[in-house]
Amino acid sequence: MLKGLSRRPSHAFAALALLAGVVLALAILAVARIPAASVTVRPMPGNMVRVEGAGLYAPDDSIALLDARDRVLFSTRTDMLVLEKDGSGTAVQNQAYYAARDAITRLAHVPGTRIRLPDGRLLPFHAIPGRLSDVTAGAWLSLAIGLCALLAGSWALVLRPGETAPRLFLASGVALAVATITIAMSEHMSLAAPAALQFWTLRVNMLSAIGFGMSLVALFARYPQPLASWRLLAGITLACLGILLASLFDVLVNVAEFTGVIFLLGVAAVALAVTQGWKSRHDPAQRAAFVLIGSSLLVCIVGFSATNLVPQMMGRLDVPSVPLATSLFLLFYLALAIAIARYRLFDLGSWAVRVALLALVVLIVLALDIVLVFLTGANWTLSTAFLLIAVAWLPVREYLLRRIDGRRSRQDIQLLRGASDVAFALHPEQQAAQWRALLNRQFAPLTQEPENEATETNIADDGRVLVVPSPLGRPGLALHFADHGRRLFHSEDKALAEGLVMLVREMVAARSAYDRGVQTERQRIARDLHDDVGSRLMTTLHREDIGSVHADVREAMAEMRLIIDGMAGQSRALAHVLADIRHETVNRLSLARIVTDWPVLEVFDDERPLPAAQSRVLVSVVRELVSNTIRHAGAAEVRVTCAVEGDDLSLSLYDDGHGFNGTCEAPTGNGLRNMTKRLEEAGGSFQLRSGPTGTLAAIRLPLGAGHASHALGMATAPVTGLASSG
Amino acid sequence: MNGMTQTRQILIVEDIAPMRRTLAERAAAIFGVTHVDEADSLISARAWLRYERRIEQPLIALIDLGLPDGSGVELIGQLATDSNATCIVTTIFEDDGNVMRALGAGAEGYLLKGEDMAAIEERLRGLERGEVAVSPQIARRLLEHFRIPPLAPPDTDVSLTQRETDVLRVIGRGLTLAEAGHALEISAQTVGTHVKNIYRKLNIASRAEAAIEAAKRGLV
Repeated sequence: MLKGLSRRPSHAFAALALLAGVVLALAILAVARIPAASVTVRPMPGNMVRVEGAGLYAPDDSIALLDARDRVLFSTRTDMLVLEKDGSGTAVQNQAYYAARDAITRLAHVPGTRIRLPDGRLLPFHAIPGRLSDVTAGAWLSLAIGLCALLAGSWALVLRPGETAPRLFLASGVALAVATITIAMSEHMSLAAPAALQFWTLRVNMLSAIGFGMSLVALFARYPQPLASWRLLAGITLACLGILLASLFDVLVNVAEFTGVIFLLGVAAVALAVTQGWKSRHDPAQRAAFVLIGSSLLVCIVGFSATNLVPQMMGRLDVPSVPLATSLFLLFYLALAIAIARYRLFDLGSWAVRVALLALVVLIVLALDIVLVFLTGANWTLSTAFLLIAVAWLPVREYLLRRIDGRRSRQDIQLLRGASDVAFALHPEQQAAQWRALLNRQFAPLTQEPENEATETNIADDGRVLVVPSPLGRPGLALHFADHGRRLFHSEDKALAEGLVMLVREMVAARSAYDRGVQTERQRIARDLHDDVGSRLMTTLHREDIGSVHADVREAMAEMRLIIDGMAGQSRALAHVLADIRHETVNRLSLARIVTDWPVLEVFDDERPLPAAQSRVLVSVVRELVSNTIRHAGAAEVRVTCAVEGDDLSLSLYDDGHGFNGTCEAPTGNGLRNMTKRLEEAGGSFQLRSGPTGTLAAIRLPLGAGHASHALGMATAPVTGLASSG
Repeated sequence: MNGMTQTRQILIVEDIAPMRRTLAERAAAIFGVTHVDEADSLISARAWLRYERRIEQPLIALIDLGLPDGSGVELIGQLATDSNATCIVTTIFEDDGNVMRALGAGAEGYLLKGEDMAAIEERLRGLERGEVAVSPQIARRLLEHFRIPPLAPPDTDVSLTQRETDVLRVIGRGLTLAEAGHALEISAQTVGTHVKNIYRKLNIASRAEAAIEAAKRGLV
């Protein structure tokens, strides 16, 4: 990877692509320069020969080239004018063909030359200079295929530099590009083109086809697993080249028969590919690659059969041109490039299978139709257009169905459940186990291994491994081989894993926030039980008077009630808190035959929220004051006033009792100290003045949350303090 | 067992024995009866209702909610069909949720067991005088409850009158029944009557709601 980066893959690819473009541009110019002839001769079934614009003749009919004054310059058989006859006969026949072909071409450049057909008609025969605008669509298509082959080869090499497979692949690409150039040239070949050009075009085409076949054989013999030694491959290559060289000079084999060698190479390449596919069936990545290659190969064969072979079998001669058939081959070629470059193999794998199935369906339709045609003797019915529509529509349909189906995700609930199992597991160990179980359920990997470096979700090793960081602050996990090794991890798995990590992380965070809240609440309850209920019961232990004991127990119960109320921790409206305090106060005092004067003024309509801690302080302080008044003051009337002043609530309670001397040595000194402490902790203040005509208690309490010192005291209060002190 | 001269029945349903005995003692004194019946569970209370209840005599039942074999609310619901019975729920804390449930089931008042004996006696005496217990919390809850129109059929009138709403509002601000009467320029007794009517409406409304809910679920 580093090596590839240091070479700057994009630059390397740009350079290679530019080179390919220049070569192909030159090839177009060369094709355009080939002159056309005014007379075109084509082969027809039954060895007949057709002269365009004239008629149909037997191959051995005599044909003559005349000069302007009707003198016979050259005389030959009609089939010598057929370009496709090139290299189809014995060595002697081929030599005779090229001799005749050479003479005819020379005469095409002599002005006034005419051709006398077997029926005596005369046709003017001359060369027409080639122009770029005359380049046929077939030639353009061929050259475009060549360019694609070169680009695909370069792309694979750039992505996987320094490896054998991409090199062999680029070699095959170069061979294919050369072949397409020769195909484009033969598209433009005419009687006016030099015979030598035709000779070499055909031979270079053969050479490049051999090269292409050989490089594919070598590729599949070595990649991904070595099936044959390099020495054997070199031997086969040399043998092929020897045969080729011999054939070039018509010494050994007929050139046309040589296509058999190419066919054999093709069969060998397919056989090797199938063997490789079989051998790599246990490796998901390689298997995906070969599913891709294999299915594209199948599509090629089916496409070629449908567009080329079958119509020929049906006796139709207006078959699509060779370039169109070659373009189908390009599909296989691109699949091979993808497989070698290992680019998104895992995502394409499933698609390849679908396309292959589609191709099989088309193949079956074709076969059925052929059988029908043979049985009934009817005409060929399936048009190429029909097949193309089927081939184009079915994948679109598949895609749409998948899109629609994808929206209905039935797994979401399961995922949520799994994530909450992780987040709410009791111990960290259980959490980790639940997380592993969740990943197991979701991806069914063959193995899970700790991966310390995992900081983000990633697919590694061509989809064999999915690296998932831990949402629990532990080492991440590397999942090997999805679905028990049946498939590779793909981008959807990655997205799912990322989602899971985020979900669990958030749930764990929410859970620990909740746990902290519970802990704080527990500490508060413990502190309150200790301070309020505990200390009150402790005092009760030392009382002799049963009435006081009862009073203490009731007060302890009331405190308990406040603690329970405070558990909800919710703030209540100031007006409601005051209404409840007033209700309790008036009732208690009236039972003690004390009159209460507590006017219900506007503060009893003040709906602003009072935090639970503040209202607790207020309730218990007023309760304590009222208790003191009932027990000790000997009062006949209590006057209470309350009002909001700024952000504080001020409340004063005046009784007309006999008072005490103002020191804290009153019988309830302990209670007074406690009240002062609680109010100060809540950020308020407490004042008590007493004289012979009564006692005035003044409370000031901020309506906002308590002081920082209060919060701190709460957080650090010992949970187990209840038992140890008091 | 009952003395033949007794003109009404008193039943205390309470599982804590000392509390039950104290309540029975005080109730006997205040209501002027020689005998008070006691039950410590739902089963024994139901048995009493079946075998001892004299339907022609008025009944005052003090019912605790947390009984060992279930909630006293069930008993209150059962007694709601007895037009001669007055159910008072006894509870340690004025937990408005529990008290509201009991009122909804048909209780006509509540008694706080956590208060000192003088206060409990005072409440029982108030009950004898026809007074009714209500706290600001419960008043606010009731207002809240009736603000949303109950799910009752339209022919049962369970919405509050303007006067009843006023009463609840004043009590909700912390005024006693007497103070509320003063503020609304009516007698304290009238205020108590309003509160009792409101409790009854709460019972009717909750029964209608329960019936509708049952019909919805196909239970009826």
